[in-house]
Amino acid sequence: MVKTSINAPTKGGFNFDLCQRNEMLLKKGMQLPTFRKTGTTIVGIVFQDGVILGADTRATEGPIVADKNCEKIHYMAPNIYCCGAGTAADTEAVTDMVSSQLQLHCYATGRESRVVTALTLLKSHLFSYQGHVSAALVLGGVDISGPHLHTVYPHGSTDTLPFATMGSGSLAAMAVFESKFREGLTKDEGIQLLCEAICSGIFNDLGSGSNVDVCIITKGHTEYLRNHQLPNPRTYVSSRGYNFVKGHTEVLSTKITPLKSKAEAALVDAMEE
Amino acid sequence: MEALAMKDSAISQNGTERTLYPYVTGTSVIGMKYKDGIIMAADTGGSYGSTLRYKSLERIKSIGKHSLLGASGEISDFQELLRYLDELVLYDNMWDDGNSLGPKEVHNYLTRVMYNRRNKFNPLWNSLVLGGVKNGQKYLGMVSMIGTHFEDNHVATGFGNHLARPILRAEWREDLSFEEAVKLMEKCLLVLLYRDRSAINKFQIAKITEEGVTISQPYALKTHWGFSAFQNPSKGAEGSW
Repeated sequence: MVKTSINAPTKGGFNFDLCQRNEMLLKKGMQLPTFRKTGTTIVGIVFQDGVILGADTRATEGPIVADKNCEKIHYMAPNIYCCGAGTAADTEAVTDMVSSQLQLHCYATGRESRVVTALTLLKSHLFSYQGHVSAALVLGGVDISGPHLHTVYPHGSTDTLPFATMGSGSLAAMAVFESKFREGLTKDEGIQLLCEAICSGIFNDLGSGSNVDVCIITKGHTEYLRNHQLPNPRTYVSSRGYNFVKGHTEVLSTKITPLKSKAEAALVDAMEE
Repeated sequence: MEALAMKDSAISQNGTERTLYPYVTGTSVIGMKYKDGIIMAADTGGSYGSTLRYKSLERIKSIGKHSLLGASGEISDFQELLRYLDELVLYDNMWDDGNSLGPKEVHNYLTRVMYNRRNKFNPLWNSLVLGGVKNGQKYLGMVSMIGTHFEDNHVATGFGNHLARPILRAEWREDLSFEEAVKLMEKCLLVLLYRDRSAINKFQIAKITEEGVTISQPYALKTHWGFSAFQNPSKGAEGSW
């Protein structure tokens, strides 16, 4: 008879069962697989009616551009969006997970999600992984208590800020914000400033590039502008394309082979049904 | 004691030593060309690791009649360089031939000195900004501690590369007046003050034109800390952090 195991209650705290195995594998010379990072510029600002988030669209794998037009602004709730920098898989997974947790919470409470809820879920998850989940996030949204903008670091610490930048291009974007930000910007001024900051990251940082994505969140309404600006279009040497007219190249010999094949009808029996 | 001596292989039995790490350091220097010449700015702080040891260091000096030298990095190495340059200018004056060393020549000399020191594994731990005007020609160049040198319309060392150069790339123009150049410079210095931990709020701005050199007295910039988000960060989530 099969012995059925009783479901033991989950142990609290951290689980270190696999540490010994990992150490042994490393000593044996195992190479951890490299991960795709999003060397990035992500920014967020608070303006008079809400929050605007922005991101570039380049995903890098070491020195190579893996994705020229990836999406770094992730959906969390209808009124909350999150930009992610760091390891692409980590940012995607963590935002997806918290997004579904938020939705369940929404159903349970019957109210619109709050930004601080998303924040607490993210930070407690990231802290419990002690920085190994390499996700640096800019979380923004508008809920019943007003507009909020937070940054979340891979080890689990958070900040509440009027303007925030993360990623490898954060210094270039922060330089633009520190010199030009004021409180109470209008929507157009905010988008203008934000695009300037992302472009500063795109053109001055090697890990960021391609296009600018913008997401504007206000009370009751969210606008996701994918590829709002395309400052790096594909250029061609000749704008009309190429046209090789007959007579440009000397023809040495011509041979024409008809493509109709001569099939010989063999007298065979009909196929069995 | 012996353990410490063994740790650093640079301190060998014969007593020869080479620079391994800087001790007293200056932070960024920013330089840019404007209509009449070159403008350069640096703060007056010297850090000893993470303490602010010296608060009144002059990190921009004039060299000869036509050049300005600004340095970041190890201060003692900067002072050594000034001694070398003093000797260079002295010998040049002794020729008494009406010619004087221009910024291009000084820049070349500095490049050779830095590169040769790096080849002997004993670098002068500085990033230098050299600017000047001679015969109406403006010149602005940079030399790093390993001897990399180049010329440009605007340069910055250290953190200035990450924080100030993006601003300069977007907003620098060929024909800036002195007031506009100072405003642009102050914009960059303010960002550095906010975001570089070793920067202090005491700057000197130096300018060099065909007429000569002016190094301003140290002064402070106005900072703004009155954002409403700073007032009460945990509003709406009491008890959180």
